[in-house]
Amino acid sequence: MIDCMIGKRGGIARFFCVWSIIFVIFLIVTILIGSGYVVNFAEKQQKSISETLQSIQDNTKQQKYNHLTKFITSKHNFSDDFQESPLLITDNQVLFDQNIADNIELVYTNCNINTFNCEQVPRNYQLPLQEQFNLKNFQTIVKTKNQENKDILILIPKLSDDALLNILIFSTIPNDLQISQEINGEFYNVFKTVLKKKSPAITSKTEMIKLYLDGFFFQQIKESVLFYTEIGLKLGSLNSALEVAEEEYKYLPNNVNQKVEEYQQTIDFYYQKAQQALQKSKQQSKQEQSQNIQSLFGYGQDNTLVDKSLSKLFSKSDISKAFIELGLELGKLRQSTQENALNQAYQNRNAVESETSKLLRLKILQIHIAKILISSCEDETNRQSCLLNTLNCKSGDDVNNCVLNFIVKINSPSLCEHSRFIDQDQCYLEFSKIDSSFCARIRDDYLKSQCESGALVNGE
Amino acid sequence: MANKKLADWIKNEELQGYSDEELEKTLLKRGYAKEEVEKAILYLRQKFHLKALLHIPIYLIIIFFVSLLFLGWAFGEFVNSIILSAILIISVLIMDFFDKKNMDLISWTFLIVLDILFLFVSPLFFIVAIASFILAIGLFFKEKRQVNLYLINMSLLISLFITAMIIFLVYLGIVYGIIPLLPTTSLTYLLLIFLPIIYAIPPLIYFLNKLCLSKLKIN
Repeated sequence: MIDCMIGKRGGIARFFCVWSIIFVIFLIVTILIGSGYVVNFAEKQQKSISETLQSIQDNTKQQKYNHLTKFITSKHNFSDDFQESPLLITDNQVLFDQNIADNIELVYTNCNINTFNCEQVPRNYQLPLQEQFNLKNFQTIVKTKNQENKDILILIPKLSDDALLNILIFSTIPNDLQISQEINGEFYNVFKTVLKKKSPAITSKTEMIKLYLDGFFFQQIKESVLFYTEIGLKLGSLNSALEVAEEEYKYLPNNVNQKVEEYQQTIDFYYQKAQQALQKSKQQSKQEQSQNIQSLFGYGQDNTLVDKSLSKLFSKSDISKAFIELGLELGKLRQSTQENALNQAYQNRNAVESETSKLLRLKILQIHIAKILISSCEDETNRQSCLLNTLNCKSGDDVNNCVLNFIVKINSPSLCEHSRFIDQDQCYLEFSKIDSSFCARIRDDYLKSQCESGALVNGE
Repeated sequence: MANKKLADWIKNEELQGYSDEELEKTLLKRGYAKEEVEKAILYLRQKFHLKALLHIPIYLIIIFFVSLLFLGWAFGEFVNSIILSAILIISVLIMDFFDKKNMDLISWTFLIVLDILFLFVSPLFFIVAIASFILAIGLFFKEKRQVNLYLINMSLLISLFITAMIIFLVYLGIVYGIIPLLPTTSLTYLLLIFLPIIYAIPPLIYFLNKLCLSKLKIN
């Protein structure tokens, strides 16, 4: 070192010596900054994953409490229009919106979560609400009106995760229908998966750096995104099925058998086309994913030597591997969720059940097929002719009319918002001929007022 | 202010083979003040002339332009690299003109404008230009202003561009030759392979700059 330092002023030896020292310092500083960055990244990552999971779990629980509230209000014929106040419990006190407890005659407490019967206790104004009731055992306070139009309070009990999971989804469809039980069973499985999910806890900083170098955190991001996407897709599909079933149940025809046959014919006619559309979409999706991954790391954007070499370099890194896998698996997940839902619904179409349940099941399947068909040509270069062919229209037909006629034939207003090819107002206008409440969904004010006044009922 | 006539006389005498020390002694004997002689020599050293630039080995100048065009192509800025090549050639001629007309202040201003011009043509190459300018200023003061700043700047620009090309070629060699043989791993581990290249950058610049200035008696 000393020989190095006393090298001739301006000489090559001195230059190398000084530069080597600077380089070592540079390396040490880089390692220190890098380690700090890694620990910070890992901590933020852990925190973010835990917070997201906590938020989703809280949201799931809240949904269940909302369903419980709806069951209780429905059971007692209370007003649907209720006001809620969450109960925030600190060490010594319970905080809630005090205004909610004003002018109350009765308080419904100790509600049974199976029968939804509650104990009715008159409000004692000598005591504050928190002293009259041990509010620490409750989740929320709901204020609504009873049949005599008097304000009442319902104290929604605090429940364990298992008890919450057993609360059914509140729906206008009777719970004794097989299709309703199946939907509830699937909701139960999804909610159970969410509530049982645990976030990993890593505390040691050394362990964090080691795991970072092993690519653990990128895999964790991937798995977390896949988990939430899967949950989202499943819940979306279930909510959609429930919405369709409720809509169908609302307009239950007198001759259910005839409608069932009609639906069966439509399903038999379009099922193969939906399968073909899914297969086609799968092929296109594979090509797109390959292109998207390339563009993520440079290919396909600026095709320069630098871009190509950086792509080559990053393609060997764990971050690239995690995101490439994520892209592929997300595509597969989307496809498989859609495909599984379709196949499962198709296989169960002949289940032994009541006529009403069968009707709802077939309607759900029919709408599922219709959605696949309507959105099947989105990635095609020649979308219009593809859609005309898929929906069995003639090649020269107007694509808007073709889609509109298909939606009217399927008889589901929810499909009005599912295609970019049709005018939504026109679509709702068609359905308003059957039910004038659809006029409210028309966006154009003039058309809406015309629809509501009945001037357009006959398609004028 | 330096005595320009005295500087011209020193320049002519130098062309006949006399060294600075010999000329300084002669002028002191003739009654010139030491400070006046030193100022004249300093003025002479700070002036740019085309012949001085041509002392840079021609192969380095050729490699420099090849580097500029190659890097321009590799980074998708080939047209900009051609424009910059033209600007540099024109700047040499303009600097020579300013020198002949003794327009010293304008030549200094032009040097700064030239670096800023890089920014407008290509921000990527501006980084190299500004690095060479900063290093040139450092060297200029290290040499007690006994060198021409523009000449040093050009020499460092050549050194930096050739270094950049060599480093880039080695990087390509690693990316296309070694990286495909490795398993998928952390980006940190992959970047470790490039540490020797980073270490080699300053010595390369140092060596190439020495090579550029070897015939100009500048260390």
